[in-house]
Amino acid sequence: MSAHSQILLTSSEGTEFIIDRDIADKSMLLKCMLEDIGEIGQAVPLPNVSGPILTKVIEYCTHHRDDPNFLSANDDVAAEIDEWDLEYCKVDQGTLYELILAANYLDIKPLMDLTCKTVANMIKAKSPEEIRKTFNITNDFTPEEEDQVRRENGKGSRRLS
Amino acid sequence: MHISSNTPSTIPLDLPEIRTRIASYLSRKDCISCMCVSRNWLQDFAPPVWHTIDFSKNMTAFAAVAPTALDKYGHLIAEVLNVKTSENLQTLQHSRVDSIRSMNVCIPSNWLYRELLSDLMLRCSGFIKVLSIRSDPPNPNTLDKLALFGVMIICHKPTLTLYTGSRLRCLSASFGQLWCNDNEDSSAPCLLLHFPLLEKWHMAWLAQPSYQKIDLNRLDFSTWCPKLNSISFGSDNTEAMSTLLLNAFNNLKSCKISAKNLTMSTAFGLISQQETLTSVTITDKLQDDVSMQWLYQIVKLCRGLLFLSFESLVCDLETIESWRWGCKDLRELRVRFKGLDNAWDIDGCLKRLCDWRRFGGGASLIRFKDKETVATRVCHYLFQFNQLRTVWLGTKDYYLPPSLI
Repeated sequence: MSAHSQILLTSSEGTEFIIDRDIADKSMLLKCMLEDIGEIGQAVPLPNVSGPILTKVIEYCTHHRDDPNFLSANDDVAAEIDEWDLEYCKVDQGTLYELILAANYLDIKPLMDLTCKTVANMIKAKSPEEIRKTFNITNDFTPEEEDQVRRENGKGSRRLS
Repeated sequence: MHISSNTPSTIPLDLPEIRTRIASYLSRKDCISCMCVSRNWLQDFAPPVWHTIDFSKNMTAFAAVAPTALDKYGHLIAEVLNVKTSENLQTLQHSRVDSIRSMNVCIPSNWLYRELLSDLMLRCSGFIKVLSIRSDPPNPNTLDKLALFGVMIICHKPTLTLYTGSRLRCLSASFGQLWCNDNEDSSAPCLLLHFPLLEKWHMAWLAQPSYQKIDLNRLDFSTWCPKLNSISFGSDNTEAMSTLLLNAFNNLKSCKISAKNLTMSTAFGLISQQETLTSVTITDKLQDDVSMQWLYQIVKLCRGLLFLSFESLVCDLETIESWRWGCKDLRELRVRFKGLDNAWDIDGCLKRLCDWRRFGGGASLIRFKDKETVATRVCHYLFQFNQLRTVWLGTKDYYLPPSLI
């Protein structure tokens, strides 16, 4: 088993990264690819992931390298995020977005869960208007429609609250 | 930390699958706020809000909700809990409420409820996987009512295809209900006909149906349900139980029976299944020497038993020590011993057993032999079961390490 072999990755700008096979295996995309075609010795191009983001992703996978519960790490919806992960997610919104997209593309479920949980935490206890502001979303409801959504879902009318 | 100055061209929150994932981390309240954000968000945050309707909670009790809301969201309702009044059922009478997968109903048995519920179930018939229905508390005097209640749920006239091809694996129904499923036609076939994949059956009552008499000697459940291998009896008619055990079941693996019904005839019934029987559970407290005697016969003759539980009986260690166990390969044992009745002693006893398992036990066996406390004797006694992995002596489950022998 070539557990200690190394894999070459290229980010969108063409920067090359050498990582250990077991780190690459944290990504289901890379794992399946490497299992299917074997190690070709050439760099694996990742046109959707920029160098700085790939660095962050590798940092995450390396930190959780020997985590036996890696795949189910963030399954528990109610569980608190652990300290290292919390620190890891203290990034600006653009970076967080790119991390979600990278985790989605590379198919790293625990990183996906972690980043989505982070976004969920940004939503918690906010009003719809505050959520729109936080994520820069245009309101395409008329005030009546928005009020109706509120009423129909048992949250009471805005005028009443 | 700041890595990229510009936001990526794709915003993850624009992707429905990402919004759906985020929704799974949010409370109902937060999801409602998200539904108000925009039209796109509304679609992805609505499913968790409407997934479960629990009529016992004010928050999701939407009795006052206008039908217009159900027009939009009714198809998202997947689980309905604590349906208790006709208002609850009326609320769900909407053509869009057609995807319920799990329903928990506790209602009186009368024609109005029956009509409403059977209508709802027909609409959701392709989806329902879990159904728990309780009517008025059963007692022998209302048996007719209970049978009527069976009509409501278990209606299977040719026009109603509710159960055709049913994948039902567990059934909880009294014996009489199986035949009282059609009020107008007393020759309607046994309900089991519709459950070819049934594996477990909890039979609360074994009384004969009120409209006809079934000859228990000529029943064979395996013709309808070849996979049926687990039966749980309520406290009931011992003779009928024994007849069923002797005739109607094939390849029974698991049986739950009340201590009150543990007599010669039921014990023989169980022993007749000895080739396949792996699990026996004795419930209820009624202990006399006779029931213990028949329990012993089961333990001696059903050699394939892997799971044995008689939690509510308190056993005399002397009696148990005199038993010759046929089922030496027992994996799980749940029993109480007289004199071993506090958590401290039980803990000590089982921890010692774990140690013996880990370190071979021989030497320590001898060392402890001189101190004949109940705990030591129980420990010593259990040591003979090499395959035993789970033990319960009155407090909690203990998991034993594998035996070295």
